[in-house]
Amino acid sequence: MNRKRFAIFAALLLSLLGAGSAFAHHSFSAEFDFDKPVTIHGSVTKWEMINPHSYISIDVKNDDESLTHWSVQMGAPSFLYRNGWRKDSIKPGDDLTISGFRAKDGTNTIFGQQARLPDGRQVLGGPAVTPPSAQNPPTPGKPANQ
Amino acid sequence: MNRPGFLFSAIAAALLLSCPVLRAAEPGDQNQAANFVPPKLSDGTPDLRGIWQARTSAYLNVEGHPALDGGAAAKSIIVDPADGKIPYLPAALAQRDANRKDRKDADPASNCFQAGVPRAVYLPTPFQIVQSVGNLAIVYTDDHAFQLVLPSTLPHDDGIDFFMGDSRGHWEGNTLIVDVTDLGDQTWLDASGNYHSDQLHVVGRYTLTGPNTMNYEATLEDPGVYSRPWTIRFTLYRDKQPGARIIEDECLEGADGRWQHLSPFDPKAVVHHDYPAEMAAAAAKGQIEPKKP
Amino acid sequence: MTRPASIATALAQAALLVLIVSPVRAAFAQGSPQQDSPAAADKNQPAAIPRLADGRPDLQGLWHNEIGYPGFRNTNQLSGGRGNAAQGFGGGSKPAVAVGQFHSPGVPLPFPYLPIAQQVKDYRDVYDPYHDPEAHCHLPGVPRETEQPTALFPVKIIQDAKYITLLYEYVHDVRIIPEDGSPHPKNYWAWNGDSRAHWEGDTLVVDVTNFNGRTWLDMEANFVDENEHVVERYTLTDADTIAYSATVEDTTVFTKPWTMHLTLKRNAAKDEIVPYDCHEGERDSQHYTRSEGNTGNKHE
Repeated sequence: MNRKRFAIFAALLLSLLGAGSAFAHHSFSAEFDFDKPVTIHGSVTKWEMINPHSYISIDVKNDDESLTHWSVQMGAPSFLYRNGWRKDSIKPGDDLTISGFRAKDGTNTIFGQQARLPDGRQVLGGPAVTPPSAQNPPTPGKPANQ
Repeated sequence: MNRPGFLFSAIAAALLLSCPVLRAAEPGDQNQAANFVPPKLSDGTPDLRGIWQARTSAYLNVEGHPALDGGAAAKSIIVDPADGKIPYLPAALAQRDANRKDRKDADPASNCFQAGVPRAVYLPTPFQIVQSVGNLAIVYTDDHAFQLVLPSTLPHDDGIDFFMGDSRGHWEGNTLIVDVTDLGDQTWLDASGNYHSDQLHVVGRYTLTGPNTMNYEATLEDPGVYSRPWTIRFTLYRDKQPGARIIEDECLEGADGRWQHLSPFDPKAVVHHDYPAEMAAAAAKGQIEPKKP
Repeated sequence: MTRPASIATALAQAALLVLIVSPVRAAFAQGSPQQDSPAAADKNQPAAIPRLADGRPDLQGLWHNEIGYPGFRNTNQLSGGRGNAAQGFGGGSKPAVAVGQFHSPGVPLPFPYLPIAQQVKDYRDVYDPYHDPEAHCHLPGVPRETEQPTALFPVKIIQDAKYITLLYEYVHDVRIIPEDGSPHPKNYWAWNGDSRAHWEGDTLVVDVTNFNGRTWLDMEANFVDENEHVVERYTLTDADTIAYSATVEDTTVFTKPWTMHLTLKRNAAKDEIVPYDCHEGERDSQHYTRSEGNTGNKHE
């Protein structure tokens, strides 16, 4: 058992080298900035539990009572389902808090890593990622993984 | 075998070979079908393996249709209610008619969406049943859709929709019962706008009636759209050609933005690489340095 | 609706109906027969592998690529998930380990590209990720479908004497592979190619050709073209482990063949495929941001 744990740990350690993007059907690291974590809280206006990525639209109330529209991208329904989401987990009008990473292009788009649902549960919105800056640097001499 | 029964079978066979439209079952066939003892797997469950295909044109309209485009007329595959019509709620009928009017664009299958259940069963392309003790899957050609039929002792997944639904199966005698829920509301029942809501519940029954025929019967209930459950029935035929197989079916986006099926036998299916040309185009866009001569 | 031709036929049908409907409600067997793997009598002996009645290894069940999976298992999940989420899910709020890079450790990177192909790869990686076929819900191809999506989305294997069928959760990809010694077809070009299997001892060997040149190997524009040829090998090393390898050759892309090695592990008995529709909801391509070099499509 110790040997097996070590093998898994070693594999994971190896897997930290390199870009370290979460698996997605398209490249998170190109679209989202892992060094720009952001948390938003607002009111759901739209919820689409669809493949390949689910989407939530949220209106965030600013101090001056104006609303800013945010778009949240999350994982596939099968991922969400395994992590506790159902199609009725949220609906327009619900309060929602989302933590994630902002889009590189500066738009109000985030990859929703975690959500606090209206019923209080904390659930994952997508495969968890560790920002590249928090990872081990590549071993010198070893070819970078692209 | 008595002579009238044999004669019926011979005529039926001739009709079958000459006309793809479903023919009404003959009384002699029913006797044989009812008495058919299917081959079995080692656990005693009937062996449904093989490549199967419907020969009905219900995919155009489950309620039947007149002769069109050189094809024969077809009767409804609905056996209950007796009038062969889907028992829509009044408001739902209006929606069906609206679907029908807009079907060229609105039919989800016309944009390569998975057909759903039961539409996938009577598409004009074959499907394959793969089966071993404790495992059964129905693999369709169109859009490489499949139903993985899990034991009915496992509850359905709830609170999520799948285009091909969520399937649970068990055997009653020699009949496979496949209970399908979670079908969502994004599929139609045919190309004529017949549709359902996300409350659709389909119970399909598969029974071998001969070495190369299988009876398919399905009861559909959907309190959001239909005033009562209704039932379809037709025969599935085994593809006995040696080397018969389910071919891959993917779609590509066309110039008009609609997705079209791409046949793997079509020479246009293959992309022949031309790396120098690709790099030359990139250089012309200033994205890479032009190749030195 | 047909009517019985005679009273006798009606009675026979009624009798049969009674027989069918009344007692026998045989349930499916609970999953594949090898769920209870035989414990090795001696720890130093290799674990016995499950076998079909004809003696061949039984590869059936639900499998995933082990790399990356523990990362998901260690993340904080709630009891609200289904039973299949309970496999290791739960406990701890520490951030999950990164889900691997684009490739498992058993993949020999960098790939041995021909110079022109290396140029193409580098170009597409920066300027053309939009054309990753997976970004459009297309089939991932071989061996990508086994290596990458199965880190998150498992694959179900059903096996009989004639076919081995792989049903992938990811984009409901499916391969029904004949074992009858039949040859590859001519004039057939597919995303998954054409697969023909045979056994070499206890190893299932799958030869794959007839690719259509539209698949990539990952999200970073590692790619193959229409000349790809893959030989896969599936070997049960114990009841819960498949050693998988794929030897890829493509004479117009690589200077030589290369082989990836993966470990597929059996999912927990409660796990099941949760269908992954894709094309029907696909709007990701329009969400690509300018940073991905997508100059041709609208984005939010």
